[in-house]
Amino acid sequence: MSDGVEIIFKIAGIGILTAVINNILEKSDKKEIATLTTIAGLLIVFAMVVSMMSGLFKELKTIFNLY
Amino acid sequence: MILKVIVLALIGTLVAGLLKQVKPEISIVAVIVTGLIIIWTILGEIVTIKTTFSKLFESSNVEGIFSAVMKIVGIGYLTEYASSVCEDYGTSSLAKKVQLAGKVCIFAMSTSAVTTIMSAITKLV
Repeated sequence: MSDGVEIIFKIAGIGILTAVINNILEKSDKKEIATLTTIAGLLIVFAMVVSMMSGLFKELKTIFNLY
Repeated sequence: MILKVIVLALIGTLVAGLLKQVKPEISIVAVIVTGLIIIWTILGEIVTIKTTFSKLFESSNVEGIFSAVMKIVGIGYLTEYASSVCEDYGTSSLAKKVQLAGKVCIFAMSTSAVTTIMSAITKLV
């Protein structure tokens, strides 16, 4: 199990966590905080993915010497 | 090695399917990340292929063509990856745009390859 799979599970975990928090907040009629948590969850996931993507594409650029 | 890729792809589709019901936005990210990880796993193979071929082409004077061919292969692969991800999530118009851009880049690249080929041929004659 390389480190690749852990990232996928981490993303799945964050997704499910935000959904659960959303439901809880909605039940306790705090709608606006629910939307905030959704956005926060998305931001965390995007930040993690963007850093990984940039590293990989830099490597690909050097390999295919695409400039 | 191929087994690892297969396992990753299956896990990726499972996670994306699961997330589609719960949180559709994050399922897109899951698909993109699985694609990236698969590329990451096959990176080693690509590097070995490139080094063996570049060593092969070192001797002859057509070094420029080999780097151009590698560039074209890289462009083709990356645009195919991006357009298939775009198509997965409904934005097929974006996919077509990416493919068009890839074709234009490859065409621009081929002009430099053609010139190097021509110069090599004229040197031979």
